[in-house]
Amino acid sequence: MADRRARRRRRLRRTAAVGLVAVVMGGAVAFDVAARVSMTHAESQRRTAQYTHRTMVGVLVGRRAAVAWATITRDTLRSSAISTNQELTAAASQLSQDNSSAFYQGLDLETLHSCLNGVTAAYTQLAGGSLPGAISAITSASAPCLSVEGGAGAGLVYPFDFPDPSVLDVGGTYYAYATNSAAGNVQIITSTDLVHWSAVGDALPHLPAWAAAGATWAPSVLQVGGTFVMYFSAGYATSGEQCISEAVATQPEGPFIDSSMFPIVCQLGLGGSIDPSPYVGPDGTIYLDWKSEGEGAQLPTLWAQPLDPTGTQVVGAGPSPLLQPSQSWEQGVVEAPDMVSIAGQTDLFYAGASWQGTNYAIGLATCTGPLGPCAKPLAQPFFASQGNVVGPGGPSVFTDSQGRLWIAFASWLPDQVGFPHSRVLFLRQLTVVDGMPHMAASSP
Amino acid sequence: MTTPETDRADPPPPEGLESATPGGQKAAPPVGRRPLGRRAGRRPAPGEWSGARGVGTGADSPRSGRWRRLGAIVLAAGSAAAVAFLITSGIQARQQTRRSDTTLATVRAEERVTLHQLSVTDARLAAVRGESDAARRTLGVLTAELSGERAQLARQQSNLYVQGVSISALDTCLGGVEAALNEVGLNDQAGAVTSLNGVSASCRTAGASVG
Repeated sequence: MADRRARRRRRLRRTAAVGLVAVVMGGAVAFDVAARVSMTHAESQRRTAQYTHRTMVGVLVGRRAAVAWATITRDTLRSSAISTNQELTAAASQLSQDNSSAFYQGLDLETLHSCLNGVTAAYTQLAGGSLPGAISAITSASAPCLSVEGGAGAGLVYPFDFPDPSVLDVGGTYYAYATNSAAGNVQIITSTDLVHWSAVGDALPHLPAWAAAGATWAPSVLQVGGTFVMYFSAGYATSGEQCISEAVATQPEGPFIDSSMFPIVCQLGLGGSIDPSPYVGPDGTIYLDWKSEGEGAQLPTLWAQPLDPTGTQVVGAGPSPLLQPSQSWEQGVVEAPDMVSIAGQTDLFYAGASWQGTNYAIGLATCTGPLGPCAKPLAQPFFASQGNVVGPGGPSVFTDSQGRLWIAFASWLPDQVGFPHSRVLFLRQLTVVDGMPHMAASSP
Repeated sequence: MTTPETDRADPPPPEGLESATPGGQKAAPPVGRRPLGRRAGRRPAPGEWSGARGVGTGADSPRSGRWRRLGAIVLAAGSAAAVAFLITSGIQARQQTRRSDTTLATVRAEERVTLHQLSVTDARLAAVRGESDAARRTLGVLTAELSGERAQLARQQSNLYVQGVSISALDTCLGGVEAALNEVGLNDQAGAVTSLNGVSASCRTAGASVG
């Protein structure tokens, strides 16, 4: 019995030991298997995650490259847009300027056309023998032609041929007279503001019997009481030389009548007399100034002689010489005298050099009295070509109704120098500084 | 499981199928399951299990006990070694798992950062592409405007040129007509005709240009 129990116990112990070993082994195997499964899983997850991460990094690098490229593209586009915008601005500015130019060119075209139509109409009327028609056409074309020639900014007030002008103020209405042209023997135009001038017609419709037509020059008018006396030069029919005469009228626009049988001044031995201009001295005495042309070695000379109180006849012992050419700019010529009292001093304006050229200019002399002698205080012209004034001459100084001193003169226009181009009428104000007149920049 | 005794004889029967009796007697194998051995009075047929033990080898003999203890010890040692190996391997696996987890955590953190950067980059890309599109549209509009302005400019400059030609022609024509007027005023008909002839071409050009 005991032996059987012992064997049973041994068997039980063996069984228990084997079971224990099996359990321990099983546990160890389970532990190991579980650990390995867990490790495998973790490794798998790690590899997956690392792969995913690498993929994401790759995507990120790609996206960053895309951002960089997109940024470059954007910046390039913006740069192009800025550049294009600048070009657009420049083009718009240029277009605006061109539009403005086209507008003004359009105005110029229209103005030119109006002026041309007026001048053509005047020509047609005149060729047809209708002086009133020509004057009407010229007057209607005056404004556009004035604009074409540059307007009144520099003192241009009448855009047609108006040589050797003289201006007379009669109660605030201004009358300007000039050498013969299409408008007749003596042109006359009128204005109330010195800016807008209208053609009146021919102030001297009939020449005296001794005069030849076609050379009636440099008229000037003096009001003597209720009478208006015009002085002018005309070709002496028998000799062809210029001589001076006078005509009278009861109103400034004429018609002036010259019924003389002989001129009042005619220096045939000195080449003839031209450019008469009256001057009223401080004592009320009337003087007549003029130029003798000179022949051969004779120099052109400016003269003065008193007139009778009616202003129609020269009186006294004879003419007194005032001035001869002596300065280089005068080129041997002095003419178109115009004496005027300024600041208690007797000044003599005149023109020098060749009237057909651009060097023609206005000179100034100061005189001890109406009969001279006169001296030249300047070594150069008082006023020469400048701007749109080319070869100014034929000075005529007058005082307006407000007491302002003005000088009228004729001038060629740029690129239109010499007859048959026109010598147009300019007005400029004069100022006096230290007793000396100066040409002001202002114009009507 | 074999014993040193069986190593010297035929292979033992599978454990559990043999039952030893006290005193060295052998229990009969189960009918139909065990082949008959020499104790049954015959030689085992080829393929039959002999199952003979050495003479004098009983379970209770000191030699047998030693062998059994030695076997048990070997078994225990093997088991212990196996267990130790398994546990060590498991620990190493777990350590590797922890390292993998740590790496995984790091990678996932980096992944989150990368994902954030990717998100920011995507937003930036979208914004820049939007700006590029806007700039492209603006450029298109400006280019179209510039093209139009240039076309207008070309037309206007052409117009200016034509007007300039017309003005020049008109000016020349006017000068000639005015000269003719001045000459007619002085009864110089021949001079007037010459002046008019001199500007007739310009007057025709001017007349054509102003219609």
